[in-house]
Amino acid sequence: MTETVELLTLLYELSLTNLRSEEPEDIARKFIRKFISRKDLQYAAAWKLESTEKDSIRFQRIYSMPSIHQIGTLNFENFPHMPGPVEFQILEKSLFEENKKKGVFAYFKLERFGLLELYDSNPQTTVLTKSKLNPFADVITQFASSLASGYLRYAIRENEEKYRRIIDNVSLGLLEVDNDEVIQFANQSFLKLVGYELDEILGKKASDLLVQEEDRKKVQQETQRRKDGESSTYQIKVRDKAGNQRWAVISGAPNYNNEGEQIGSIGIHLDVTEQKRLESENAFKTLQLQKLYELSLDAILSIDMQGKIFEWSPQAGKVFGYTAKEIIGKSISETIIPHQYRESHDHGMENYKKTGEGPVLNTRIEISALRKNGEEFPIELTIFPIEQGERKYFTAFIRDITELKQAKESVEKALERQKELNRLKSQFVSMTSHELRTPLTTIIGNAEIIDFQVNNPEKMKTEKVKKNVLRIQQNADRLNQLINNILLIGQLESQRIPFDPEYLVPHLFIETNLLPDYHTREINIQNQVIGKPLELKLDKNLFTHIITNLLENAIKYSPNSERIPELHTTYHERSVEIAVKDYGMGIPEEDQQKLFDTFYRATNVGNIQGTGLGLAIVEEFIKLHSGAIKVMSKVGQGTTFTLYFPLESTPEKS
Amino acid sequence: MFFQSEDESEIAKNFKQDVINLVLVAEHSKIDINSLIAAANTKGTMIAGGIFPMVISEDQNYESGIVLKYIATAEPPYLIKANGPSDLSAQLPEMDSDTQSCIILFDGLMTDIPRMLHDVYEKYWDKLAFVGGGAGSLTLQQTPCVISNEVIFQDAALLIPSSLRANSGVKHGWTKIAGPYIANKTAGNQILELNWRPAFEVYKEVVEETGDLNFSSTDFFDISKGFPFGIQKEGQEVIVRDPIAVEGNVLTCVGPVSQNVSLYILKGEKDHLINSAKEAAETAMQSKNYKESLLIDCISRVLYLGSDFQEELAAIQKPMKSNIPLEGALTLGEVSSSIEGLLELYNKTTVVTTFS
Repeated sequence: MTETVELLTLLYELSLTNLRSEEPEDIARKFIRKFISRKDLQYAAAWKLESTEKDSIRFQRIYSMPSIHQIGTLNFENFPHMPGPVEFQILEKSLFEENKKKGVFAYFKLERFGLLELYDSNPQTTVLTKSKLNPFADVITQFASSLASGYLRYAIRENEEKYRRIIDNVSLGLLEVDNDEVIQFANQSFLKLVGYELDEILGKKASDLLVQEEDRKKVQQETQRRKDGESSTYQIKVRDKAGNQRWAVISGAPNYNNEGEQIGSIGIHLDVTEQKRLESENAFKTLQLQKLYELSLDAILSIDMQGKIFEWSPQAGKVFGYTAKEIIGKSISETIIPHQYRESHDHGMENYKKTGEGPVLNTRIEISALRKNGEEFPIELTIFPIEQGERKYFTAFIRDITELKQAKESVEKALERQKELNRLKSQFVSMTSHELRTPLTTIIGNAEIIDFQVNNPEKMKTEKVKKNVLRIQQNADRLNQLINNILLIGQLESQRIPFDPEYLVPHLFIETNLLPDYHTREINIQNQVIGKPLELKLDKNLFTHIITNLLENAIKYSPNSERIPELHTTYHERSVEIAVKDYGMGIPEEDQQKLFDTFYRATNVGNIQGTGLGLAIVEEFIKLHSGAIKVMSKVGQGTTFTLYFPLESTPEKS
Repeated sequence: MFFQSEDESEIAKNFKQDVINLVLVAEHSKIDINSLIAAANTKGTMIAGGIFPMVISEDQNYESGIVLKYIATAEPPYLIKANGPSDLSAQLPEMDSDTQSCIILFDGLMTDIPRMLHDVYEKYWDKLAFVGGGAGSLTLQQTPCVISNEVIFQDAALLIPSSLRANSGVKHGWTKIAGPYIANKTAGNQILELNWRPAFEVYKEVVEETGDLNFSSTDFFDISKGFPFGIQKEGQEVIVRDPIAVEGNVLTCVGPVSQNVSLYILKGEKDHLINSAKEAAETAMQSKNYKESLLIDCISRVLYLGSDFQEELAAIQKPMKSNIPLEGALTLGEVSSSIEGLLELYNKTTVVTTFS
């Protein structure tokens, strides 16, 4: 009776070892320890079938005490000793070749997956006998069943863990809520999105905790859609633990239990905060670029690799005269590039296609361009090659620098003019002082000679005195002329010269009013008139000054000429040409350009007196009549000054 | 040899080289253990041992005094720390092939002694025979009690290898008076329920009826020391679990009681206990050529037998060779195993070991 009770209590204990264990190893450990301790065994092991080889079966240790070997190899010759489905085997040696212990071994089959091995080192004891082991068959079957359940749970848990790991590791946030939006689960990506630990959000209402006030209505609507069995994708702002807003695109779907009842919903969250920020930044940058594009003072245009224009800014329209509609799709080479640059442009494009390089790229150059009206104008040009993936194109910034150029030229001219004026002023002062001093010196010298002769009557010679007086008169005249000329120049510059033109027939005025004086002076001048005379509107005084000055020069600079000066008046239909020609010393070519400058005198004049003001005054007087003067001269052959007086400046005589 | 001297140097004079000087110190000894360790180190000798409630020499048990025994060995003692930096199992050394047996002394009040014994069994199950017991104070207040060449440790165990074969006789003599009871609710070394009833209620009913005793008028331990629990082990004496305290209906034992285990309530008869001790000695003496002996006996047997305990010692000494003195310690839990024998923690048990 006692033995039965003891056996029953042990069976009871063993049957309960599996109660609170879930892991197969844990189940086996408790069972084996109890069995060893209570049956006073030295070794026991639970084995799991691992693989069947050609001539052996490999078992993996689930648990043993002690842990002698991890793998158990059951060789072919031991197959017959394997226990059947319900029986057990008692052997004098181990089934496994790794175990060389001597003693009594007992083997129970653990369902279809393994073996329970028991070992007693002392063959004298009667622990592992058939009659002693029979009562344990059922509890060992139960043990096998527990192990099998353990493996099943283990496999399920492994699977769950595997899927949980997958869920945790996906970059999308996953949130599971019940029908009242109470959070049931969130994966790692979702926790990262919201900055909470799982424990902090479980059991809390998702919209209260995580959704911005303005989005709650939307979430309520979405929750209702889930209850109606609908899935949908929407976008809201999520509030993280730190209170920051994060944008999430949520793909929500209803969640069902095994019975098909709806138990809530699952939301897959894609964190698009960064994308939103970039979008916002991009939108701002795009707006900035658009404004720059529209308001830039530079013309902006883009061409493709074929040279076709596909972008044309408003300013480009203003600069070139083409509207975007007119020019987009057209070749740049055929529109705004001047003819002379078209070939090099086409060559440059081809070269860039081959080498990816271009000498005019990414640098500022000055060149000219063509407006729609055909006008070529100066531009400042910068071209950037742009690559967007496979797409390549060029964008050019063009600045119309016409006005800039003109202004620059104007400034340069003004500067040049200023320099010239300064130079002329210096020259004028120098020349003037010289030209004034020379006749004054002559006058003073002759006056002193006269004075000497008057005070020494015995030496006085009348002829000599007369000569001295004449010189004084001549130099006084010269001085007078010089001063008059200077005054005239001053009047001209200050535009205060009297100009009172009246209708005259030029050659008649010359023949009547000017030539007689030369006859008187016995100077011969060949006068010739060609064409039908016209009346021109001329200021008598200025015209007199012009012709007289030129005739005087012709006489003065032909001292040794055998031929007399000539005066040719040619009447054209709408103009009159008056040429004053001499056969004198001529003017060197290099001097001819500056001949009309004040105080400028040709370099070959020698001692021939002159002020250097005459021709300057003549030119200005002619300009007042809207006329022009040209000089043709060869040194040693003579000079011809030709005057042109247009009829246009002379109103039709009624 | 036994010393009652308080002079460490006098004891140290007897320390030998090339053996482990096993010192079993009674807890009320006045001797300075640290000085004794220092003296051993000065001499370059190996020292190992423990502080126990009492020590035994010949037919006497002592509350103060030191037993010194020489353990022939090929290797030094190994200290295993329960709270060490590595797992306990990782601290267990590979023993020298000359080592045949091992004395295991441990802090008898440290936690999870069964786990330590399990790890030791795992490592040495088919290589070594073990004998040993728990050191510590009878007050059951945990203090450093494991003596090594370093310092005195608590929460530690000493493996003292011996090159001699050990043969132990293990008996307690406690007999079943009631049971089995299913300990359906336990927690470590506490029994909460027996047969689905409050544990103390069941225990009290049996003990008061059997012994005509009254827990309400007598200190719990004064009664319980005579009525331990027993765990059935096939072909063996039951393994004793000593109930030492009660709180409400919860009984606290020395050593763990696993859930759903079948427990018997035991009773000790003086003659029976003494006779079983004698049988243990006789079993140990079966090795005829033994050169040394060691007695590990439970302190609770002293508490239960009182002055009759000397009779137990005399009974143990009687079959022994006259030239080999009976020496040992009264411990908090006893351990013994043969080669390929499961290492179990016993209570209220006599372990007589001979080394040959």
